[in-house]
Amino acid sequence: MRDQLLPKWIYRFLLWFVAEELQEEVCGDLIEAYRYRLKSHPKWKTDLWFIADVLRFFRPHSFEKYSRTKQYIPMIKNYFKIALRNIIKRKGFTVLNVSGLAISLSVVLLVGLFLSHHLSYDLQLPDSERIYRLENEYRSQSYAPFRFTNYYNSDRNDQLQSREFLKTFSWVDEVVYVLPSNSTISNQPDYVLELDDRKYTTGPVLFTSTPESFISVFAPEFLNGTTSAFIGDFQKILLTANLANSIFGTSWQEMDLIGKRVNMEVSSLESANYTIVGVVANPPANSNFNYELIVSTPRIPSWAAYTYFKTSQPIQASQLTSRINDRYAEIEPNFGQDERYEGVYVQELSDIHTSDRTILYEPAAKISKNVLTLFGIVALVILIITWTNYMNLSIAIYSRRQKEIGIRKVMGAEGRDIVFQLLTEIVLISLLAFPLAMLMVHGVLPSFNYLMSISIPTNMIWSPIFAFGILGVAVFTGLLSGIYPAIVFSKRNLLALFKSKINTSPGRFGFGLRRVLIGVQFVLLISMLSLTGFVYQQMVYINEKNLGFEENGVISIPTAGREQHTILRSRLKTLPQIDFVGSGSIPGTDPFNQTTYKVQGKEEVFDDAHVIYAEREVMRAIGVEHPVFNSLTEGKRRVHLINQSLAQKLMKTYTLSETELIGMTLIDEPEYTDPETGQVGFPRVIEGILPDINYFSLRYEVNPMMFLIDREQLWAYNTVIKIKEGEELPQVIGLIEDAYYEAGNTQPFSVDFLDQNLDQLYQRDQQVLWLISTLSLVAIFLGVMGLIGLVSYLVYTRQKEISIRKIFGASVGQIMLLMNKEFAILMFLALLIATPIVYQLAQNWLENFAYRITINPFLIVLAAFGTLLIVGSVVSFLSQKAAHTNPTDVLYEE
Amino acid sequence: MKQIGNLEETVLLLIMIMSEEAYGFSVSQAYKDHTGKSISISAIHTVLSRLEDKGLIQSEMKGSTEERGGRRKRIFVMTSAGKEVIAEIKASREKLWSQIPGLS
Repeated sequence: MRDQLLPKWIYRFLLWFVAEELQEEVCGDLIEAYRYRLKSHPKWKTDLWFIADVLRFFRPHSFEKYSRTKQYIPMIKNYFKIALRNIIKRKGFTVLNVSGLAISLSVVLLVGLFLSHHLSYDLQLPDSERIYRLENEYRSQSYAPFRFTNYYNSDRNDQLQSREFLKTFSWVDEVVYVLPSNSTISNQPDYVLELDDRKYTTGPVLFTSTPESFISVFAPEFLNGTTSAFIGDFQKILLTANLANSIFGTSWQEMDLIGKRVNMEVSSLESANYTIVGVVANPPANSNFNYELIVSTPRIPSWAAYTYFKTSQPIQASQLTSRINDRYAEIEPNFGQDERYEGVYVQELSDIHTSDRTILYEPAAKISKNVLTLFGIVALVILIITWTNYMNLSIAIYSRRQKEIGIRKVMGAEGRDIVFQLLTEIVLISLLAFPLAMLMVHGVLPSFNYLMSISIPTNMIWSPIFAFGILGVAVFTGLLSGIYPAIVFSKRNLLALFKSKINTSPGRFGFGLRRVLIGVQFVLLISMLSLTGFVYQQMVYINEKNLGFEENGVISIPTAGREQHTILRSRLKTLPQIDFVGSGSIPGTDPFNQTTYKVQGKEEVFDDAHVIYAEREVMRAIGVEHPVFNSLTEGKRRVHLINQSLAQKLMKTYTLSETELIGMTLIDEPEYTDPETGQVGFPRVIEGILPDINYFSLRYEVNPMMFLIDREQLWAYNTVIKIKEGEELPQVIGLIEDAYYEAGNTQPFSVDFLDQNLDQLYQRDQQVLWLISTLSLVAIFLGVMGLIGLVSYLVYTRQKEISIRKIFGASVGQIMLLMNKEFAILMFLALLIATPIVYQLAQNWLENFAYRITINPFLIVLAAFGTLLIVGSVVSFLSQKAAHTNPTDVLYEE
Repeated sequence: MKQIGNLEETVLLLIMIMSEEAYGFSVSQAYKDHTGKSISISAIHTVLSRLEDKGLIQSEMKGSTEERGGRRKRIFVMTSAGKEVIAEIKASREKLWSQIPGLS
C-alpha cells in the first residue's frame, strides 16, 4: 500500500504503455529504485526522478511487441468498415457534420491565405531582410519618399546627394531611387507611348535614376533581353509581359523588340526618346509597386524619390535610424540649420505594408496589423466553435453505441483498442471535410480576390504549407473532439455499458464538461453577434455621416495648364448640363503635407494646418458657401478663411471671441523670410470662418485648415466640374472629353469622380467590415447548428424523465420550462463573461476611427437574448414534442 | 565470436560478479558503484534484453520482495556462451597488451 506515495498519474501512464510481459519487472525495478532513493532524497526530487525514469521507458522497446500489432490489421479493416457503415447509415447527420467542418476549414484557409498575402509584401525580393526604406521626418509628419535638395528644380547631382551620403556608411551596399507614376507625388497613372508612328496608352510607369542598383535590389526577372543592356546608360525601357502582350500581342516573344525606339512625354525637363531593352515579368500581386514598364532617366521627374537601400547584413531599423540621424546634417546644409527637418526614419521592407504609422504619400494601400489580428481571432473563434460542436456531437454519438463497445470488450478488446477504433472513426469523418474545404476555397477564391481587391493565385491553396496545414487542422479536430469520449467509454466497466439506460453523462466530468462547452458556445455567439452589430452600426454611421460638402456630380480632370483650363472652361460654360467649372483641390484625398503658422504678435508656432487652394467655383461645386465669397464677385482677387477647428483652437489658446478673431492676421510659414523684402512668412487676415469639412477620411479628425479661395487662380492643375443633377453622365462626360482635347490637352483624358474617390477612401474599411461580418455570420451559423444538434440530443436522452414527470402530472408548460431553465442560467453566465470582452474588443477597433459610434451595452444583452431565443425555441419545440409523446411508448421495456 | 559493445561488456561482467543477484535495479546500482556514472534503469533494461537476445545471459522471474511491492525480479545469469565471449575478450586484450613494446 505504500505504492500510494508515488505520483499516481505517471504510474498509470507507465502501466498503459508498457508491454504486459515487461510490466512486473519494470514496475518492480522502478518502485524499488524509488524507495531506495526516498531514503536519502526529499520526496519531490524522488518524484521527479521517478517521472524521468518512466519517461525514459517510453520508447518502442517497452511497447507491445510487433507480433501483436500484426493482429491489429484485420481489426483495422473492421474499424473502417464499421465507421463507413455508420457514416452511411446516418447520412443526414454526416452531411451536417462534414459540411460544418468543411465550412470552418475553408474559412481558416481563406483567412490564412489573406494573412499570408498581406504579411509577405515584397518579401519575394532577394535578401529582403537587408532592404530598408529611407523616410523623411518633416515638421510633425512622416513622408514615404525622400525629398531632393531644391525639390522639383533639382538636377541629377542635387538628386544624388542623399544617395552619396548613404553610400558613405560602410554597411550600405546599394541605394535605389524609384518613383511609381501612380503615387501621389507623381500623380500620373497613364502615359502615352509612341512607337512606329502608333500611340499606345500604358499603365503606371516605375522610374528609376539608379538602374544598376535597381537591378541588384529589385531584381526583376528578365523574360527577354539582358540586365547589362539596362544599366550604364539612361533612357532605357523595360516592358512588363502584360504591356508587351497588349502592344505586340501574345507572340511578342518571337518578335524583335529589343532596340526599338519609343517616344514618351514625361515632363519638359526630360528627353522624350527611349529605347526598349527587354521584357520583365509582371510585378507580383504582393508588391508595393504596381507598374507596366520600368524606365531609367538621369533624374527622377518629381520633388522626391522612394529611396531604398540594402545593407551588407540585417540591422535593426531603429538602430539604422539613429546612426543616420547622428550625421543627418551632412546630407545637405539645410538639414542642419532648419529645425523643421526632424531627421530620417528607416523602415524595414517587411514592415512597410502593415505599419500603423501614418506616413504621407505611401505608394500602395496599407493594411493595419490590428485588422489582421482581428481576422486571425475570428478564424480562431470559428475553429473553437467547430471543435466544441464536434466534441459535443462525438459524445452524443458514442453514448448511443455503448452496447457495441460493451460487446467488443466482451470479445476481448482492450481499452486501447476501443480508443483506437473510436478515433479512427471520428478522424475519418473529419477527413471527409478536407477535400470539400479545398474545393470550396478553390471555387470561392476568385470572388474573394475581387471583393478584397487583392489577387491571391489559386495554386497557392495547393502549396504544401496550406494543403498540409489544413489537413493537419482536420486531423487535429477529429482527434481533439474524439479523445475525451473515447477514453471515457473505453474505461467504463462492462455492466455500465450494457445497462439499457442511456447515460447523459459519459463519466465523472461529463456533465460538467458539456456545460462548459455550451457555455463557451454561448460566450462566442454573444460576442460575435454583438461585435457584428457594432461593426454594422459603425458602417452605417460612416456612410450616413454628413461630410460637410456635396459629392454628387462633381468630377475633376487633370489639365496641362492655365491656358488649356481657361479654354476648356469657356467651352464648358456654354453647356447647359454643367453648373460650375473651376480649378483647385477637392476633398476625398489622402492627407497631404501640413503647414506651420502663428498669430501675428504671438510667439507660438503651430504646425498642424492644411492649406486648401481653390477657386470659388470649386467651392460652389461642392456646395460650400460663405458671405465672404461675395467680395470676390465685387472685384477682390482672393479671400482667406479658416475652418471651425482652427478658429476653436485659436479662441481657446488666446481666449478670444469669434468677432475678435476675424480681422486678426495669421502668418503662414513664419520660418521663411523673403530674401528681398525681409517679409516674414505669408501674413493673411482672417476674413471668415467656414464650418468643418471632412476633407480627408473619417479616420482622421478634422484638423485646422486655411482656405485660400480665389476668383481665378494663377495656375491650374485640374478642372473641377459640377454636372447638373439628373443629367445622363456618360453623355456629358463625352462632351467634356471632346472639349478637353479641343482645349489643347495632349495627355490621355482621365476623370476622377468625387463620390468614387470617397468610396475609394473607405474601400479598405468597407472590405474589412464586409469580411468581418461575413465571418461572424459563418461563426454564428456554425454555433447555432452545433447547439441545435446538441439540444436535440439532450432532449432525446431525457425522454424517459419527461415521460415519468408527465405520468406524475407535470404539464407540457412545466416540462418546457424545466428544459429551458438550464440554458437560461448558462446564457446569463455567458452574458456576464462576454460583456467585458466584447466591450474591450469593440473599443479597440473603434479607436481606428476619429468619428465613431458610442458602444451601447444594450446591444450585447440583445445578442444574448437573441441567442437564447433561438436555442429556447429549439428546446421548446423538441421538448413539447417529447412531452406530447405517449409515455407508454417511451417507458415500455421488453 | 559475438560482437558486443563496451557497455554490454561491463554489464556482462557485473552480472558475473553479482551471481544470482543481478536484476535491472541492482545492475544499475552496481554500474554506478563501479564506474561512478549513473545510468537510467531503462537503459539497463535495454542492454539486458539485448544480451539476452544474443544468448549471452538468461533470465528467470523470482524472488519477490517487500520493497518492490511484492513484484518479482527478473534475475539474470550467465550462459556458457556468455562466459565464452568474456573469456575471448579477455584473451584478445591480453594478447594485445603483451605486444606493447617496453611494457612488461
